[in-house]
Amino acid sequence: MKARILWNELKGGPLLAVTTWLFMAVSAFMFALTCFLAIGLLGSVDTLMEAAKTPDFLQMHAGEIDEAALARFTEQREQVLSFQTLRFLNLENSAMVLGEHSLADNTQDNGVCVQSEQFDYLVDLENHVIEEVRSGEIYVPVCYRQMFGLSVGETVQIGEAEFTIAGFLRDSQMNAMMASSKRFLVSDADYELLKSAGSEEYLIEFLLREDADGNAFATAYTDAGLPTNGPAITKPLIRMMNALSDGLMILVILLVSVVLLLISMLCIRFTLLTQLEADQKEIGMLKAIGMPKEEIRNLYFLKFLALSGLGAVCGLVLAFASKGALTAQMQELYGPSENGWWGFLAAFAGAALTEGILLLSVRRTLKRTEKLSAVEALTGQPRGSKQRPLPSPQYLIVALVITLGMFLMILPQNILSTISSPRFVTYMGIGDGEIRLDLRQTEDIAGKTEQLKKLLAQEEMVDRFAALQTLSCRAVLPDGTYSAMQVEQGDHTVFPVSYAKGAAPKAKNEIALSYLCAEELGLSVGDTLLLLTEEAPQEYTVCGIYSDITNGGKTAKAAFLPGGGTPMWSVFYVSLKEGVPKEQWLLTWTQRLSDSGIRARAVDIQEYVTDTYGQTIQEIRMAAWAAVLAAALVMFVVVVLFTRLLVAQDRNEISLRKALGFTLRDIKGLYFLRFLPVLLAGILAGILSGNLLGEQLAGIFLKTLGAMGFRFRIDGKAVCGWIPAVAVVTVFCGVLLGLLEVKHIRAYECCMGKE
Amino acid sequence: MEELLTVKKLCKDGILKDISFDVKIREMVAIMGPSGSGKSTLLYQVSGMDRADSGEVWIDGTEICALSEDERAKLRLSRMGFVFQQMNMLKNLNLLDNILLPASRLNRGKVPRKELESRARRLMGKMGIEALAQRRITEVSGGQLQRACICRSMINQPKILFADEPTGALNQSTAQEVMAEFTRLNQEGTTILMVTHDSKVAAKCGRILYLLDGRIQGEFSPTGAMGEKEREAAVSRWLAGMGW
Repeated sequence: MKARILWNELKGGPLLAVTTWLFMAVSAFMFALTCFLAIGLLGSVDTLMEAAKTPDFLQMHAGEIDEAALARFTEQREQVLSFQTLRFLNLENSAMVLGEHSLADNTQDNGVCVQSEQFDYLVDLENHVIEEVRSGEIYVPVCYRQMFGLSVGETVQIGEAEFTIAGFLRDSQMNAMMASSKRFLVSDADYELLKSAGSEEYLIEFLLREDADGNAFATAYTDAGLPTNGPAITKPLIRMMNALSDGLMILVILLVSVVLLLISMLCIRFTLLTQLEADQKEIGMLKAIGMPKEEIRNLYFLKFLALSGLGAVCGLVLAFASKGALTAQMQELYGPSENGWWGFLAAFAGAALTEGILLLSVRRTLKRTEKLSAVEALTGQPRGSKQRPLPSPQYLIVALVITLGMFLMILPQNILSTISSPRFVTYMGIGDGEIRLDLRQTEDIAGKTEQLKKLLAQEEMVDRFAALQTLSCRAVLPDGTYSAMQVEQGDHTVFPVSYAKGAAPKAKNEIALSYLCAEELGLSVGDTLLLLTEEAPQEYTVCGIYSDITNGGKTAKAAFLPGGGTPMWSVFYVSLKEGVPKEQWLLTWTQRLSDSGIRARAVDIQEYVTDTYGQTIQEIRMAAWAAVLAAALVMFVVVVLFTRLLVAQDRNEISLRKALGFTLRDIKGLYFLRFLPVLLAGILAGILSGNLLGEQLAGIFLKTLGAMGFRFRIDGKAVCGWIPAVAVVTVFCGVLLGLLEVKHIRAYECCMGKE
Repeated sequence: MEELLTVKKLCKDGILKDISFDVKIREMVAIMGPSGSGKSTLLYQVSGMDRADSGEVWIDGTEICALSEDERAKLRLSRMGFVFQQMNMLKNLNLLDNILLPASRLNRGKVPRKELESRARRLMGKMGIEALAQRRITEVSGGQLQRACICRSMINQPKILFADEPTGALNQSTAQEVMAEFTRLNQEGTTILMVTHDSKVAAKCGRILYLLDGRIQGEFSPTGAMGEKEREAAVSRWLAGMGW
């Protein structure tokens, strides 16, 4: 009997059934896709890191190294499984041409190396270790394949030397565009040939036991006075960098999924309440003849159960069909995921969870049938209680759907404009300048820093600049032990990074800590910290906390460091006077620095953002447009449904108006007028929630990825311009379509007492 | 004769005031009274659709006021039948399925559908609507629909049948046909309590209770020996005396 009722019900109201199914399918699709992508990304990254045997601790170093001292240090430590030093030859970008594309404008540190012997392997696109590189051949980082459309057999020019591309490689620690270096693989003989064309640096790498504490090891390494002229990185940070670029796209899809689920819940509740109201007499009759309330509830629930099952299956099929397009970039960078089955399972779980949530909300709504007594339902009159038996939320739900739709359109646009903005790098530990000059891997950094300072001070086109030198210091922990720390010294107020708490250091005894550093030391703004410099211990007060993913993430900023010490590297942030062409200035200065014997890398920060986050931005842009489409579609469907319902309810009144002489235009105008406040309220609430709540929401997720104190850069044109316009047009079209039935209502219907 | 329904000192929301009466097995009783006198409210209380503020309602030896909503629902399903003025039926089912609805719930898993279906068809046959079994409820006349409602009310062989203005929405000739079915059912042994506005309908009952301002003001039993016209005239006279 239930099956018969269900079938007849679906046959009787196909529009409502299809709409409900559509909402259930779209929600399941989005969640399944999110789960699949997230598990796929983590799986791919882990699979690659396993295949490549990524080191647990890595110290970059420019300058000589004492292999014997390193070996002694390693022997004394049980937690070390293996240790190696790799050479990396840093090349001039302008000397490199891939196919027909010069790397002159590239912001990455490009260089060559030979295959590692023990671990940290460079792997091919099947994730197999590249065993042999013949002379004259080169393996190119996979990110450049897509970027420049390269293929095997094309040539790579490095200075005078020419190489043939033998294949593409994945580099487990520098694969992400957010990692600032890229390693090309050449043969031993070619490496030696190229040596004079670049500057060599070392990668000192350690594989540790599973139970070893990477941070403690890093401190012990610095304390032992071993080479530290360069950033130090741990395995968790490498994993985070790898996951971050595609993770942001998944984050946007997740946020969209959550909002879509909310909208689906609202709409399903809305259609159900409408149906319950229409079926009030039938429910009363069923109660009167003695049908148990559970049975009545199940009669309705069965339909939703069937639709949700169908929705989940369709959502999953759609998710699996469309995952290819979204995972293409992920697969290219990180290769296949070994936990493919987990991805499928997670997608199933995601779809099941979505349907579970929707069905739970349906069951809650159906509880209303229980509160309604047989008499109330039959007579349509509440007895004893003041409440209406089945209140219809109607306009409120439409306003809420418009709000959520606006939220759905605004949030990804805001994330997009925030990440595209040059200021976004300030959440990653990079100053708010126009141009950045790096002095690294060179002799006499202190001297060259002074030289560059003088040059910049004389330059007329420069508006202002700041020189920041990074030194290695040790912080004294409360238990008396030490922790290694890279402290950047200089005026941090000129081009500040974004501070999650507090502000940049100004006074002599002030220090700002990176989020990771503050976490490790257990310090907050206002706490004191004892720093061991080359001269004497000095007490500092923590004045600010910022997020930083550069140089290993554990950094500090101070205005003054006693004694100076030897800087590991220097960074200059420069802003030019108005009207000065940036590109030309950069070209002139690259030449000028080279003539002065200063090996500094000059980068346009806007270009750096495009290079580093370009792929991510493109993916988020895709997700943002998908969100706009989805939101517009949902708003349209809901408005059409709602308007049709209104017309059905008002049939008698519309007929009466027609009988009294109202034109079709008059009647339609009345409905548009009724929708106006709902639309305005929805748009306003959407703008407010999209900007305020959206910022909080995105902030929570970005914090887990390492970016703290996140502030939206609101795209005014989108938020107050075309997005509300899309909402207005969508609602207008929806109302227009929903009002089609008005034309078919006859003026004499009201006289016949027809409902 | 033994009592099937006993109502003692029933009160509800000030609409029903201290009402007591009983209905014996095989009796057909009509409740009459002007609009707002509390007729329908009384029917809702004695059938357990609503709970009275105070008083007792005994049906077939069970006091229903003390029962939970679910227990009262079970009792309605197994021992009571209902016929409404508005002929409420599920619009998504055909006549046969609508009639089978209470039976399929009560006998779930115990009696095969075929057997229930043949029971329903027998009832429909008696009412002269067997040929309409597969019709949707919008495809039959009001009289046919009300007969189907009576079939539904009888499908679980109830001890008592409650009817609320069963001919209120029908024209005169159809109303007479439907009342003939009620009389036949009563003669076959079904106890019936109905609310009606129509003195001709009431005249077919063995006893009439007159309700005014929530109290039973009078009771009248047209004697069985009288012919139909005489019974109707006697009822009309009595009603006139009550201020109808």
